[in-house]
Amino acid sequence: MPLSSATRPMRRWALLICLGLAAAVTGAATPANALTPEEMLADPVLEQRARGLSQGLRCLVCQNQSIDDSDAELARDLRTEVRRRLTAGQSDADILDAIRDTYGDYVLLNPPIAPSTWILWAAPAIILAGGALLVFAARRRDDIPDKDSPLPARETPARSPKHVSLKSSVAGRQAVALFSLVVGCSLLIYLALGRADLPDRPLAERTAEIAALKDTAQQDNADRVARFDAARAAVEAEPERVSNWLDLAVAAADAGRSETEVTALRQAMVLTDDDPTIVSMLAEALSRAADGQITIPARALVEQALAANPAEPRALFLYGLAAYQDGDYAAAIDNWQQLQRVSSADAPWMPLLADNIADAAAAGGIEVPVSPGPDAADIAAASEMSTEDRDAMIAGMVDGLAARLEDNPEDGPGWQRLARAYDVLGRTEAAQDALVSAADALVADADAQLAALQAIVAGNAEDRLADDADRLLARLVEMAPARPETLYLRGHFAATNGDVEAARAFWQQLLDRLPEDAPIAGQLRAAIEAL
Amino acid sequence: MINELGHFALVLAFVLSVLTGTLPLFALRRGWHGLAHLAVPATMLIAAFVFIAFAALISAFLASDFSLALVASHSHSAKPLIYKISGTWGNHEGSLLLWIVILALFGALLAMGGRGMAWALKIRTLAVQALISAGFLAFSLFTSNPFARLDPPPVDGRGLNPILQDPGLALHPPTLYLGYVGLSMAFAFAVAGLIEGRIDRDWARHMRPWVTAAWCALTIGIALGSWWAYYELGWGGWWFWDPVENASLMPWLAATALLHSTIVVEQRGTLKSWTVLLAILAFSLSLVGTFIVRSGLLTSVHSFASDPARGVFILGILMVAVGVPLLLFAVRGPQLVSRGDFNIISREGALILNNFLLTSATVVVLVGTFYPLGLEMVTGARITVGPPYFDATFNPIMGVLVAAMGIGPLLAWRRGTVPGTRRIITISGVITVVLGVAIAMATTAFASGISIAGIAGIGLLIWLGSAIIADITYRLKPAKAGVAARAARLPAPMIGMWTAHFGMVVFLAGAIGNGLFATEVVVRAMPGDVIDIAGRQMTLRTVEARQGPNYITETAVIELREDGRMLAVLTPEKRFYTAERQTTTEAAIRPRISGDDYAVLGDGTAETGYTLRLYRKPLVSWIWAGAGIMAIGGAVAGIARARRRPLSTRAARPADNAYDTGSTAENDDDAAQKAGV
Amino acid sequence: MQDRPSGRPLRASFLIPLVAFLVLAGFATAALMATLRGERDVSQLPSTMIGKAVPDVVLPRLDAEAGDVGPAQFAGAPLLVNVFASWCAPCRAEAPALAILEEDIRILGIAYKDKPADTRAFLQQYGNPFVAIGVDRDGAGGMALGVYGVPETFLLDADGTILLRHAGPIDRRVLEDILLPRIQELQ
Repeated sequence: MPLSSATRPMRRWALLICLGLAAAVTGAATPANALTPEEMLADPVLEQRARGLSQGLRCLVCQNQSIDDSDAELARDLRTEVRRRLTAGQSDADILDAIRDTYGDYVLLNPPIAPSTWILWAAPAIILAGGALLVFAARRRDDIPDKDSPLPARETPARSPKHVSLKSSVAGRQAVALFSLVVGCSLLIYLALGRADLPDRPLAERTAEIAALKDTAQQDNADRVARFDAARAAVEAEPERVSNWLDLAVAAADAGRSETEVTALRQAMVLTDDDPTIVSMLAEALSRAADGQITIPARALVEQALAANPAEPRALFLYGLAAYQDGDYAAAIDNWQQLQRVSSADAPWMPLLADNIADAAAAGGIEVPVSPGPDAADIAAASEMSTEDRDAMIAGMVDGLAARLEDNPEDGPGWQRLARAYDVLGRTEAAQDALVSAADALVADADAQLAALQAIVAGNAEDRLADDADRLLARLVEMAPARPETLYLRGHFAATNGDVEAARAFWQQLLDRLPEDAPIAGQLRAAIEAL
Repeated sequence: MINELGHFALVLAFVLSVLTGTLPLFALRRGWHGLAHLAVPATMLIAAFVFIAFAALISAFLASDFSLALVASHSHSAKPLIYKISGTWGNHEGSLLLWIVILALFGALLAMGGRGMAWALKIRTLAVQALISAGFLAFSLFTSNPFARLDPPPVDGRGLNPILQDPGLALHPPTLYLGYVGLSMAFAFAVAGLIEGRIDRDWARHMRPWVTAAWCALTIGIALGSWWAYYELGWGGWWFWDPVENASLMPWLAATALLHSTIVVEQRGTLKSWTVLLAILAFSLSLVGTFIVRSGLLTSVHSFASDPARGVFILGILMVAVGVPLLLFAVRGPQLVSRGDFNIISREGALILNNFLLTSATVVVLVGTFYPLGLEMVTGARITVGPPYFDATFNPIMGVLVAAMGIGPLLAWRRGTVPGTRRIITISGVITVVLGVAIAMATTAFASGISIAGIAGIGLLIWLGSAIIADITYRLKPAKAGVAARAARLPAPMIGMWTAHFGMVVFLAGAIGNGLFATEVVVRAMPGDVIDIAGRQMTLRTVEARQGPNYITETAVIELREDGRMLAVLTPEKRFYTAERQTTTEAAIRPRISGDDYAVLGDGTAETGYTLRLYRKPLVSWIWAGAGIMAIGGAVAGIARARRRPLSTRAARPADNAYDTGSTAENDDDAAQKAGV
Repeated sequence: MQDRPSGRPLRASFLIPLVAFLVLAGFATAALMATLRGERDVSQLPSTMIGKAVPDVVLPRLDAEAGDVGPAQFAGAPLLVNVFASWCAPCRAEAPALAILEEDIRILGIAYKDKPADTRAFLQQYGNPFVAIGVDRDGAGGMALGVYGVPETFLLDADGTILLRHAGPIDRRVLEDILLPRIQELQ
């Protein structure tokens, strides 16, 4: 029978031969161990009491162990506390009381005798007494011999009924019917649960595949490291170039080096004067460093980015993610839908976004409000039509959208959608007009200005839309003067207006910022020559 | 292919077991014997399907097929072969499937055997067993499906918990489950009997082999678990009153009572309601054990991944599987009260005491295990019921039982004692007192005092030991043809009983010897240091790094000497498993009949020294040896009884004489004794 | 039936096993339901100090200034004491919640078994909502409060009486359903 500390007599402790008690064992770096020699007290009587007490105290963070047996740090702390109190001269009862006052009854392995445990401690007596009562009650009844009651007749077959045979047609047919029932039901259940489409994949047959996977993984890794090194070299060579820092940040993110990524982005921020895109990239980097949690500093950055550009996609995404992590699913969905509205339909993050919104909706038990515009079903339907029908449908949609926008010219994203639709229809001028309207609606969105200007340039509409172009360019210059596109456009419009000197200056500035071997560099040089 | 085949086979087994659990019961009521008889081949089909499923799972583990989610999360390509196989049941889903395999196997065994059994009873028992299987199969398929797939499959698995990578793992769960499921057969018998409204001696006769087998397996399973904890967990304890350990102890206690009780029903036709209740209780407690381990309801070192959602499913199964039979018992039980015209001083009386004490002990453990939960639900307070409580309540009850074990076998059926009882008791009593005092005084000289409990324990084991030996000696005495011949004529069941009871003595000796006289030394040692322990010397030679199949170790080399003579080299280790990134401690144990030398390596470096925990544990192996002897005794008795001519074919007795004194082997023997043969 | 049925009281006793089982099952069901609803967490121990004055814990400050800090210095207004550490993963997750709480109540931080350099790095990365931070290198301060894991949060009223203790990170549910209402009450 197991004997516990309460009833176990004191063990015989051999004299401790404490050899080589090195003084310098700190234990801070090594994991805590169940009782170490360093914890033990010199006085064997006290130590014995300590062991006894420890065996009666529960380790609170373990599953059902005493602090004497446990490896946990908290157990070690408690052991130390017990010994401290013992050397201070406290009695066993006092020590147990003190620890119980701190941690509650739960810490005692021997349940206290209190009103809440009377039933527990009385249980054995109650059970024994009750059981004894029942036994005697039954016995007393049994004492009366009974001669008169009829005795049971021997029951029928000790063996299976002779007439039963599986070959008998009735039983046989029933068996067949039952078996088909069984197979039928089983098939139904199996089809719901099983994956008959997946073949077995024993390891021995996967050596080639695994080797290939490992190779690709190794290759990817090597590539990543190479890119990272190259990017770092580039930054050291030309620290003034923002693109170098951005490349380094991307390469660092790939290589999993959060600190480098953060540093690179901070540098880029300084160089671009807190460009909202870069600010939100930094926020993302900080979150990555925190295992995906959008930390408070990251949130501050996100807010800063959104203040500068309310339609910054990355910032919107992170803002939604922060709300999601807080459990505020409605706000998360709001932000993400906002992001959907300002993004183009083929932006790479759209599918991920849709998934996230679905997740948030599921987690919060919210119905996802449908955003206006063609949804997946419409688009799918459209792709199945014939060309003429599709054109007709699009024309109809477009007219409808155009009409709506006449009434509500502030809807920037709406204008952008209209522009795309016109593009599909081949109505370039209308598309350009729509983009200009979009840019006017989204005054603070540099990208919108850019898109409009690029459309104008591409469509050779510099003359037709000269005033609009000036206006848009002025805004772009104000918002993002250092962007390559801005420089290019300034040069282009300068050239169009005949200001060759200015054009050359802008383009030269741009050329300086490009790496030597960029394909555009060559074209740009040619263009400069042509001026 | 194989995976999905196994999956489909499992589904087939489920549907079939649902049918087999319901149709035959219905058919019997309507008198459709043909349909009812289908239960027999159906049960065997279920077994076949379940075997296919299990084989498929094992083959997936063997082949390291990581497209099975289970293999990916619990195996690894670098694992040694045996752990790939045994890792199949080292997790929730796989162990559940093992349960189901054994359930199906036992059902099939009954289907194929069960000769001489009342046909209707056999069909009903098979049906109930199939219902139990259906419940477990549903739980497996719909909440813990072992055949869940991964696409694409990962490159390698996450590995098996290093603590479980141990030979003990291969054996502990299967033996334990053999025990639990054997009890399910007894349960099925009991429920079938209640449904039928008949519990008679034949019923008991056919149930008994299952109870015996289950009890033996459970004894070995629990002993293995305890032994495994002893050498694996590294602190030398062997029983912790952990909720999951309790969950295996309770069925064992109930099964012990059931075993004895069944014999009474079989031989004397009495104690029926108690036997039926115990049969239901034993398996219900097994189910409760399953519940605890898999639901996260109670904290325990044993828990599988805790999942309250699964807990709800199991609770549902429990409500039906335990609630319905208990309801049946409440309704039909009173009608089973058997007449027994026996004296209180009789073997029946002793076995009632046996039942009573064991059942009380079971309930006490149940209360202790679940009281914290109950209190929390009622008042919100959190307490712990730990080893001190169980030692204070459980041990005394078992103490009384041990005392009774000395006398019980000496009593005769119906009344009185066998001849010589008084002499046996007197001799045993004297030996107990004398030896007890001697040992107490001898050990007092060493130890600084042994508690009352210690003295009582020693006294009890001497008492039981001497009672058994005295009984044997007395039986062997009238030996005209020599002791050997006389011994050969002793009925095998009696030899089994003595063996089993003596196993208890051995167990007690181990538990008390280890508990009272163990020595522990905790020290920080540098290589070359010599530590004295229990009159021997342990020298730390060195601590070196070594490589294992899937781990690296820091191994200490310790030489054990006595009087300068080298006894052994102990090599405790700290292992770091590379795939699972976990560290375990492997104790070094030198097991001997006189006791174990036990060494554990703690933290440290060559410069600062290493923490060593060294133990001398006298007689500790007797704990598990005792359990093994108990199991052997049970097996001997069980097999012997099975060989005896069945009651129903004995010299035809009128069927209405169910309560005669009967010509059992024991009574034959006593009669012969009285005749002075 | 075979045998003579028994008398009333004895018959009633056959119900005992069923009744006992139902009681046990009742407890188990209640416990499971509570766990599934998120109301019951096995790792949450009730604190023994609810309703009592906060122990007088005094710890060195984290900030460069010399001197000590302890809950006693903040008497006069409600206070939140948050025990945290840089090595504790859930502490990072509760940073946003602390940022929200910071607007309503002062928070005293106790850096539990943490190197000051690590603590500072943690605060830099995850934000610093604390009005002051005490350094508890060896865990003695924590033990005085009955801390058994990190993070833990104590709500104190203006007199320094401990009103509640939450063990584990502050998630949205705890924040909105438990902490914020209690804090509003105090103000």
